[in-house]
Amino acid sequence: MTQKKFIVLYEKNVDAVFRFCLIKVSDREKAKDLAQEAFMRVWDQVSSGKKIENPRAFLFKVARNLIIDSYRKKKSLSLDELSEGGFDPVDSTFSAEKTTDMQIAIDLIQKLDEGYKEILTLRFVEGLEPREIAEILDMSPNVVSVRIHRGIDQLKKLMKI
Amino acid sequence: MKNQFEKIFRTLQSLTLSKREKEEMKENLIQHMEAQPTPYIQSQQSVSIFNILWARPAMVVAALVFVIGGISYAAEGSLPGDFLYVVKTELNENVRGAVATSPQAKVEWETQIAKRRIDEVSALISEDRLTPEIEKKLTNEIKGAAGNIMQALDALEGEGAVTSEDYSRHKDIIRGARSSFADGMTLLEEDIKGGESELLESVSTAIGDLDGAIMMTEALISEAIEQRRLKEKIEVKEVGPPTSIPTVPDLEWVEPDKEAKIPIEDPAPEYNPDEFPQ
Repeated sequence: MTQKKFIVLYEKNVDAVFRFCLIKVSDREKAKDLAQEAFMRVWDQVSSGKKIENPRAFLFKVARNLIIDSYRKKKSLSLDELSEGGFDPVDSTFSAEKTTDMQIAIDLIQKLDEGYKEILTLRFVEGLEPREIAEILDMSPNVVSVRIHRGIDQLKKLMKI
Repeated sequence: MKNQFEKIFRTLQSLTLSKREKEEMKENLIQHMEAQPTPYIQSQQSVSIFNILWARPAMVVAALVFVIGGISYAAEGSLPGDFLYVVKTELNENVRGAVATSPQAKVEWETQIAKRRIDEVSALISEDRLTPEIEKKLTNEIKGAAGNIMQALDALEGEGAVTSEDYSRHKDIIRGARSSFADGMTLLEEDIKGGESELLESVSTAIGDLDGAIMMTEALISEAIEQRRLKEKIEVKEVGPPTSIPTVPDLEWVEPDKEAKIPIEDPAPEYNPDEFPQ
């Protein structure tokens, strides 16, 4: 993969990788750093000659591993703790209505079990196929499908619908 | 309800980086890429007419492989009752099973089979498609896989693995199988709530058997270590201090020549009484 192609990959996926990190770590600056690091790590693999079948899935996999590493280094503060400290993951340029909607959506996703949170984010926010999610999470596609169903059930309960 | 879900996910999709943030990150990335350029460039082969003609039959074969491979790949996600399920079990699994010839590979493959069946049961339950007939069939297959794992373990023993390292490798394989069954059990317990189930029982039995096999292997590891220790002790004894006196190397006996005169190179001077006064 050439540098030019890699930049195209970056432009197409940077928001998605950033969002995935942000939902997991609840810290905008940290999410930016993690997304940046993920792209650099993937480039290192590409430049060393590693053949990558699905660069997008690989990118999410690297980002996920970096998030896990960062958890190990220091347990991240929860969203509530960050909000209490004046932190807001939402863009400051959003309208009041959009900010409220966003806060509700984030709160709901954060309340999901960890296993469902990332699967539902990858499936419905990023639009990845169960097969790709399976590759990222090292699971079988069937287990991913089962978890998607269960995650939706849990979300329904949280939304009381 | 669908709209409510969509609203949540659409809202989350608007969580993006600002244009400035993206540009900054891009610059950092370009700097990193320039510091570490791609070292390998794929060689471009010259394309001749001969190559193109030669490539045609190869292309036909490649197309066939692609189509068959595509069907086979698509079948991997199928479930009992699906059109492609027969391809998954009769073609894909038989081919992969045939490749697993060593007892180790067999244990690993049978573990995979059991895991695949458990995943299928779970997926069918979530889609509300699990019929008693399918459940019975899948239960039998899980039992069969568990039985084959135990047989393959016997074959591992029969291979004459005697070192503790060999047994440790076996233990890792069995642990892998046990962990897969335990994961499956967790998944099924979430699905099959309450009531007795032959399926759960068969997975539970397999876990029990594998626990027994792990314990047995652990005993064999200890035994192998003990045997090695004893052997080393005996070897030390064998190379201990020698018990017999070493023989002097034989020397060749030479018969003496009686007539031979001993040459006197520096005879003693004759006695002269004048030199020594009385």
